[in-house]
Amino acid sequence: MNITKDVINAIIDHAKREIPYEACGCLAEKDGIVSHYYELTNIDKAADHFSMDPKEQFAAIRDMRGKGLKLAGIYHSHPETPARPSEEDIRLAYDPEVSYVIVSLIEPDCSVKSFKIRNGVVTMEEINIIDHKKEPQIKIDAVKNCQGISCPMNLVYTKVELAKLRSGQVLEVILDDGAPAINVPLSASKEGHKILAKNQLTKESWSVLLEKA
Amino acid sequence: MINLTDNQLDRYSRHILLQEVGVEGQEMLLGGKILIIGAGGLGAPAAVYLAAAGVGTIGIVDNDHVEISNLQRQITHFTKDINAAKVDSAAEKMRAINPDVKVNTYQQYINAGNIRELIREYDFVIDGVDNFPTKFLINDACVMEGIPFSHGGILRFDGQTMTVVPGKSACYRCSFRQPPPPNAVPTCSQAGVLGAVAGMLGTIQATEALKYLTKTGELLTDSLLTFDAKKMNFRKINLKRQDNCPLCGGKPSVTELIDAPQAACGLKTAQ
Repeated sequence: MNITKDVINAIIDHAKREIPYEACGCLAEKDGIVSHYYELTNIDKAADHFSMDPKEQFAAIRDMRGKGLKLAGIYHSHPETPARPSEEDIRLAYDPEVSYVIVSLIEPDCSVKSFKIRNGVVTMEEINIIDHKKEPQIKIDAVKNCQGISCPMNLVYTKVELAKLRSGQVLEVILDDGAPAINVPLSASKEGHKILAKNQLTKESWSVLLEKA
Repeated sequence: MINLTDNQLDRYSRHILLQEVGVEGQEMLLGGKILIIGAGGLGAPAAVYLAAAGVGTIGIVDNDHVEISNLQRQITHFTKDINAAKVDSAAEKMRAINPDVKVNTYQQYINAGNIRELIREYDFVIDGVDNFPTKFLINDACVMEGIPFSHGGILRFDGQTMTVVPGKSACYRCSFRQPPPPNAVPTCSQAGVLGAVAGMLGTIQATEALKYLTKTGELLTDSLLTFDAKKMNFRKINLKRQDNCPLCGGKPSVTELIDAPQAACGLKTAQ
């Protein structure tokens, strides 16, 4: 699961505010990166289980639709237990597609873990935190996710996005590992654009910051 | 400014990948207007490549109907098209290869009375005609209207082509003052032509048109490219604008268009 650092920080903050109760909410993604969160009311007001307010839940889904986002996960906190799904969590996991994210507050650094739950079987998934603020001096003007787009169409889409920008503006392109992550920045730089940063986000993906020539 | 659909990005991806063309160049092509005079050996391959390239508006002029002897080289016309108007047959193939293109057909002879009005609607003209009087007519009209064009001719295994940017580069009359006397030069139908040679030359003309619309590279101006396909020798002859050119020189004597006499050729023409 790709998730922005901002969202991770926000859900930890939410979990802390709800102590001693469990906090809960939804996560939404666009282009494969979780970039939005929705804090929901735990109508159980309990320290060991949660129920999301259905009205707020529907409102969140509606809001996602309006913004072109997709439900990516459900998060809740464990104020006094480790970050792993309880029996109740597993029983109530109704959607095999979404991620179940748990924030545990028992450790000082607040561990966050994500799981897929399919027919009662729990699989932990890797959380890849995308930190746009790693390059604080660089302002990103546009983002294009070219994951899953093979060469040379990833370069075509990159060139289209660059054409929309003014000289000096910055495009972030997310590219598959391997040939795409090598060739696209290289080709763009041959056309005069500047590679400002290149960071591996996950085993499979890279972020490349290109400044338009 | 960017309004290409995903479908168009896929269709034109090999253009967009070129640094010299890119998204901007493809948009210039989609906004471009090219007139092809003659839907024959040169016009047919040019029409197919220009349509495939996404030139937004393509006009095609020809008064003839498809004959079976055309099919050996005029690749827009298929066996089923025999007796159809050449412009309709060519337009059908252009629209089939690329529905983005608006095709204007003109089933008529081009003459001194109608050519200027016709070419005025276009950015660039391709001369794909089969006779000298009409080649001079196209040159004269394009120079008078200030519209760039590509001259082209083929015979047997040979081809020649040059690009004219009026007012900037040598025109056809700078080097070839006037049409040869009627019947002095054989037309293709008298001399024969290797079919693929038409494709070689027509695609050079299409390339010049695409370069002009995308402002890419250097046009084949102030030079005449000739080739002999039998030995596959290519030669580029440098030309210069001539001050004494009867059309674009300092004291022009050709100031209006006239229909020169055509060769009284018994055979149906082919180009």
